[in-house]
Amino acid sequence: MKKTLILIFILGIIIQFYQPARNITVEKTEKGFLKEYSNPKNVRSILKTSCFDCHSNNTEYPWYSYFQPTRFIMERHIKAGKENLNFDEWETYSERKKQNKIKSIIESVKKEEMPMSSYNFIHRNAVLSEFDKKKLIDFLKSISI
Amino acid sequence: MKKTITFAIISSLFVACNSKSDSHDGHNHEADTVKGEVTKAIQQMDSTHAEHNKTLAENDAPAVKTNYDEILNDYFNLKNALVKDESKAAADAGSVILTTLKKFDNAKSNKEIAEIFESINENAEHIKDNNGKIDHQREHFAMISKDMIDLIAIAGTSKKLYQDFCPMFNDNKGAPWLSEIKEIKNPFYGSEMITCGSVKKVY
Repeated sequence: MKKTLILIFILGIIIQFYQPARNITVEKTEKGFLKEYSNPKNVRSILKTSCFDCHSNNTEYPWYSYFQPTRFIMERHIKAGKENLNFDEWETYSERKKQNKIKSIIESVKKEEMPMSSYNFIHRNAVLSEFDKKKLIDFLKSISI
Repeated sequence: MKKTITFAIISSLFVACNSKSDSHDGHNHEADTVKGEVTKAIQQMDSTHAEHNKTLAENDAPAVKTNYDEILNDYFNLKNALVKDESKAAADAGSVILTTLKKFDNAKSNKEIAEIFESINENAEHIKDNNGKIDHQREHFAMISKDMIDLIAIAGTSKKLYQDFCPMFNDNKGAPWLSEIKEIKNPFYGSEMITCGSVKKVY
């Protein structure tokens, strides 16, 4: 028992040395989605607070992101998030892709699949109120074809 | 054979032409000229053949006028699975679409088709990855149907098709789909509302 604990402790220290590159881009100008549409102010803040950590090129890393295995899990989410939808790369999307994404976002928000519950659990301010959801969905519907 | 005929024609032409103007230099000069001209002609024929073959290759390979019926067939399998409320079969059909798409690599040459392919690919992936979540699969089926309709609009089809419309899906905005049969069998609601919809266009 004691040996196992020591082993786990040592492993815990070793994995701390794995620190992959962070999702941070130096140029922090507004581009992509936020630039293309004159979004109402609260839509902007909703996106930044509840979506951008995984769906943009800039994640706001919390203090515990310096520890493994938390960091590993985080990076997996960020990678998957960006692959599926990256608001900063919006201008590279074809019109067809933009429309597809808009529909997908509406459905995800409606069904409360996004933001992810695990994210909401830690980031209480990211939880979308009914009002937030309505604002966001109404805006998205206004830019959809 | 072709080259022999060309040689004969061209050499006869040059013999005829030269005999009018350069008669004193005679046969040798003519022969050299003819040889030079024929060599050049053969080289030109070769390059024309090469270009012709290249064009043939481009036309044989999937281009704008290509037959995308194979993707259509996979799409119908997907549609029919959703009609029967079979999420697993729909997921499998999505997987098949992904494989079929890879066969059409040359689609990248046409921007519009490339964008449609990108969309079909993404939507098929979502459908494949959501076995058990038929609502989600149906959302992406709506998007993939639009892609297929647009693809057929560009590339045409040899099949008899019907474009159907479901007025209720997507918050009553409605959604179109393609069918190989005239009878309405709704893939968006399946058994819940199987006859809901109408034929909007016959191809």
